[in-house]
Amino acid sequence: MSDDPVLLIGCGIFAREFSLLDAALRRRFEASFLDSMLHMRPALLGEALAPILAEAGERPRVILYGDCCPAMAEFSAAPGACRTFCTNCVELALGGARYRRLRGEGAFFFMPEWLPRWEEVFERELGFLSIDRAAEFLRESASRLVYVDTGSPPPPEAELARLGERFGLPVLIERAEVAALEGALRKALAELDRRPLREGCPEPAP
Amino acid sequence: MPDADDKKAILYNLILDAKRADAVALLDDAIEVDGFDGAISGLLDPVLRTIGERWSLDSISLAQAYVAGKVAEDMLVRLDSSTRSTPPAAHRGIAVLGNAEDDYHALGRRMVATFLRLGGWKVHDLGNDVLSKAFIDVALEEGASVIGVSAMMLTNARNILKIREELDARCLSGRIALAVGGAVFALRPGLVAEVGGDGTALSAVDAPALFDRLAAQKLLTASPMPR
Repeated sequence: MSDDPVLLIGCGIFAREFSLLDAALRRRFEASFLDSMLHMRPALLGEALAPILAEAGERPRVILYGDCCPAMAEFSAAPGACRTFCTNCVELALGGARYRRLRGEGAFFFMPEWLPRWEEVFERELGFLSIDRAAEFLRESASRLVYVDTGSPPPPEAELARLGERFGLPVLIERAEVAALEGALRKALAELDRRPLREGCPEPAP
Repeated sequence: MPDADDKKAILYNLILDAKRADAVALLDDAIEVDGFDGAISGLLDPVLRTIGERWSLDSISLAQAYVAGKVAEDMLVRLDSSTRSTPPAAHRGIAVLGNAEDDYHALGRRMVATFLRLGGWKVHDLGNDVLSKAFIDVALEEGASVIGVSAMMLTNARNILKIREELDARCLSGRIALAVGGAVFALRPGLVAEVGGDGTALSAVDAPALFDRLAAQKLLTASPMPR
């Protein structure tokens, strides 16, 4: 592989965490991030990613996304592409085993980038119009709220308390090291180095 | 006096505006006039079919789909407590439902369960993240003719293939049908065959017709006894 930076097209949910990574690793990438709210509109996310990835041609690129839209498999399989190994951002941050345990226990997750706009997410993006209606839905489907603390910024204790009070659910904080993101990106780079340039990655880099 | 199309438009807008109590009141009025079956087939079904189709295309919100499901659940309660002369429970057949392994998006599955029950199916809902063995073990214990599996994302949908492989290994393919559904199937039509599904439905409202068809096909299919 050449020394040219690898394209990194990622979800904005990780933009801040990316800025905290080792500078040498960051220099390996020419990074751009899309609005994380596209997660709520999978078809629209696919429409947003398609022209960006098409423009990249066969240039090596890492797709920092989970299985967040139906076309992600095709995006990953295109020549020069490699996707990070995760179903979604929370699984990447926490690791597969911890993520599945918490999901099985009824966790509903909040990533740091979403927390300042949690009311916007529920009222407008999910369409509940009021937090009371959202709370009814959430209490039916979750037993606890889990804040994924990636270390940046520190957990906003007062806002988390307000969140728990409005939804009527306990709030837990799960510490997730930024090393998880670093590891996922290094694995993706290694996968790109390992494979012939014209070959895509039908499945995410393990 | 609003005609049938007017009533559908009113109910549709009440659900989209999250006015659940008003929607149920409108349906109660329709039950008074048309009876339970008439209100469901003539008013609720077509409205929820439209909502389901729009949901699969990302054009209505999670909240609106949730309210639609709650209105359907309210009607199921009405059915359970009604004096309907021909209660349909278990007349159509027995189904086992669940979300695919690693899938936790419960809303669609719950709506399918509600519509199957309204349509006369006895449903064993196993919840989220169900392993292939559990689906099949319960289907055998309960005498189910159809296993219904829901998945939202492609990765999780591909876990459904494990159910097909286990059905094959236990010589149950042809005896127990495999219905699959979820947002990703609407956007990737070839996925049904890829995961070994026997059929899918575009929306929860269409699930009873799919399950009826699969159960009927099963009756026409001879197969070896299970191991």
